[in-house]
Amino acid sequence: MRALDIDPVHDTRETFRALVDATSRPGTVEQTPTTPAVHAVVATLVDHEVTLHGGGDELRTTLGRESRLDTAPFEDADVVVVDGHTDGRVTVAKRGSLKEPSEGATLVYEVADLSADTEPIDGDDDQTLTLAVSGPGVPDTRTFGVDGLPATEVEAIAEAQSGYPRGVDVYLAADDRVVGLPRSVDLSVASDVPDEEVA
Amino acid sequence: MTDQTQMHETSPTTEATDNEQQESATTPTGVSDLLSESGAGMAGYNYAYLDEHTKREVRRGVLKAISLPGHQVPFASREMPLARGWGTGGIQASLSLLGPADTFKVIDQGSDESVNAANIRRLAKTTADVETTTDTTEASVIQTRHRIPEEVLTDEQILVLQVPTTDALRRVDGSDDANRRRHAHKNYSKMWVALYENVVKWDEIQISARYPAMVNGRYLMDPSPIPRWDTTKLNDADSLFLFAAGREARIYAVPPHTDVEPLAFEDRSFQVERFDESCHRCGSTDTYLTEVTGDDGVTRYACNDASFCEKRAEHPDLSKDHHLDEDDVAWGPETPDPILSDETGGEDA
Amino acid sequence: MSLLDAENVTRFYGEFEPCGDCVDLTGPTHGRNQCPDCGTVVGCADVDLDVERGEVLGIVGESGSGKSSLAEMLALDLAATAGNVEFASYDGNLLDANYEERVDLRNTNVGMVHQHVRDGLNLEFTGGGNVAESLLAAGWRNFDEIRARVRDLFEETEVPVDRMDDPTDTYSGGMQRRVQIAKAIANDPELVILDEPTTGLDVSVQARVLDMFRRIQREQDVATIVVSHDLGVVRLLADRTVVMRHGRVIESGLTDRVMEDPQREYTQTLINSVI
Repeated sequence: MRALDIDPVHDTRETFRALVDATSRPGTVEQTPTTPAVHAVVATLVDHEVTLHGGGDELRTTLGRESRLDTAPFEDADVVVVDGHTDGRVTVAKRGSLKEPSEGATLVYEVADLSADTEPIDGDDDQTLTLAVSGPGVPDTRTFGVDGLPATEVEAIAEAQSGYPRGVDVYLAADDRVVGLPRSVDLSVASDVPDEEVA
Repeated sequence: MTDQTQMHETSPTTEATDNEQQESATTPTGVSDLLSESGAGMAGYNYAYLDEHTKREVRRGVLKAISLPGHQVPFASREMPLARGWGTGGIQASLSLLGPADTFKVIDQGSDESVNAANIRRLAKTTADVETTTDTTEASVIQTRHRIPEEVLTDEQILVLQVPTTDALRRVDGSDDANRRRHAHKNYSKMWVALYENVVKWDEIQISARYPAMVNGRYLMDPSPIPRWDTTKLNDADSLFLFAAGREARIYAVPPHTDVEPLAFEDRSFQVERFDESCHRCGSTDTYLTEVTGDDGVTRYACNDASFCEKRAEHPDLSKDHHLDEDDVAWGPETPDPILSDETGGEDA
Repeated sequence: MSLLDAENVTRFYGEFEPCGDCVDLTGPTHGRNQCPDCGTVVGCADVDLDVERGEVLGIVGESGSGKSSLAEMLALDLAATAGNVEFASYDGNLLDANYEERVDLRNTNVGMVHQHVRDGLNLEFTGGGNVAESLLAAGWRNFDEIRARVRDLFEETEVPVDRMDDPTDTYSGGMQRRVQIAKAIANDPELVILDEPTTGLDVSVQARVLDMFRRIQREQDVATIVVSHDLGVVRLLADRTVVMRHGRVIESGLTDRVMEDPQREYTQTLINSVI
């Protein structure tokens, strides 16, 4: 992992803690110790015990050098790195079984930007979506902003998470930031929230 | 097979379960031996004792557990220098979390001072270079056996509970395979029948510790052998709760702000323990008390949370949320008004 | 529309891939239910039947005739190989219901009384607890209401109320059968299925259990399928009867007609062997 400027002990531990916070408080923007966050997340979670789909050459080469790379097709992979969006294919990612739902895939989306800013987005900035989550880890509703994730993909993620407890768990990553969207939450696009506030 | 006997221990002082009895038969010499050989340094050991491969396995389990509140996620539990049952699951979870910036507290049935608590604390301090504390409010990660602290946990804190028995359904069926099918389909009628029969026998639900609770309306969870007193603290808390079982190789979680509802009937509600006495050391009437027998042979009631009891002894008016900006933070049982409680006496039949 | 309308219900057993001719090579005309080509056992095949609301349908046949397979499929306990079953409370083919739907249907719409007590009751539970399980599974959460309902059901099925808090394994066989019936009707289902309701009971007990069930069936007007090898049982309870042999329905009609004027020699033999 040093090839990726990631300390294999302390950076991954810190990344794990960011993921713990991101998963237990969905919609909050957490910080990874190294950039890009997508490398940090994969370096923290992936080894030969799980299968990987996607991820750049650099990442895969580094994992391979450490004998930590076991790849699989999109539909079978435990961890999927997604560049931007899956064109809706997230719905065919592994969702686990009712008996062992934890075998559902973890998808790490590399997006353009993430922000905790819950201010309503200006109409002219059509790149930014405000997403709303509710459920475990969220008092009432939490909103956050994401750039580079199409609304159709958000709907596809919600669909892939709709058969709870089966489903996929999602992390959005940008620069040194990560947002968790575990399957336990209700996810929706809230771009057209009124100026006042989301309850 | 309905194990009636497990459901009837009622007195707050009879906390011992089968598991504990098994545990007391073994001596946790592992850590002491290890540490005396290694001296005070970390030389020759991995950071936080566990190798990175083991940590990744635990960490993947932890994240899936948080994503599926109350579901028991399997993980490859490894051997630890502790006798199984002494918190091998808890220590693997703690060591996978801990870093140099953390402050670590270990509680064994309310006390920081047991040999077991001291050993676990020392293992973490020596191998992971963490600060340790006995003060709940100073800790970032707390590993605990059988209690949730009396002082309100915050969104900066993670509580790791040691779990001897992972499945609440084992009270009504010894077959793990059948129980996993029940969890898969949210089929909890057998547990409900056990509660029904409990009420038939006692006119109220008599389960002392390990009170079964529904998490997020989906999974029935064994909250580990915490008293009923602590069970309500799991509901809509600010902190994350991780439950780790080394022997059974399962991790489960209750994220912050998650519904945790103890099973009960509309007309036979969930009741926490009530104490007629106050703590003989600090005078508290709003804490979980246990019987202690002094050198003089006299049995008295005392706070089970030793660290908070010490603070209360110095500052009798210290509230459970004294360290927070807000007041009247909900945490555990509603404390009865001292005057009213004299009139109402114990709990309703 | 009928309460239940079944067409072409078929069930194969066996470890081999069915050859495709199994149905043609088995049945009453061949005198066997195992396919000679591939070894597949045809439990039942091409069974058509319907049950009206409030009606009692008898299914009679010898051991191996396929009647129990049929009952288990209609009670949602056994997957079908083929067939289509329309049921008033279910949208679609009942045989295709998924696990959750089956659980829901069994909890609220279809009550089953099993031949073997262990399939229907948890003997370690109290009798009352077993009946309460049906209510609890259907979402009842008020203890006093559950108690009152269990007591009513005990009275209804003529089980001594003062035994309701005793473990079920201390009950007599007749009482266990009555508790199963109490459990099956607890949530006012539209359909009750009785599988060999008298098997294993003393003759005097058999009559009382059947009388009790007949009274409840009439009072509550609940549609019932009663499966038995015993023509006496079917004659007492059923409005209409189907006769099965080698996995096929060989005769059906009003019970009185079937008993008094059987069209098939086999049915005649069955009747004669009883009388």
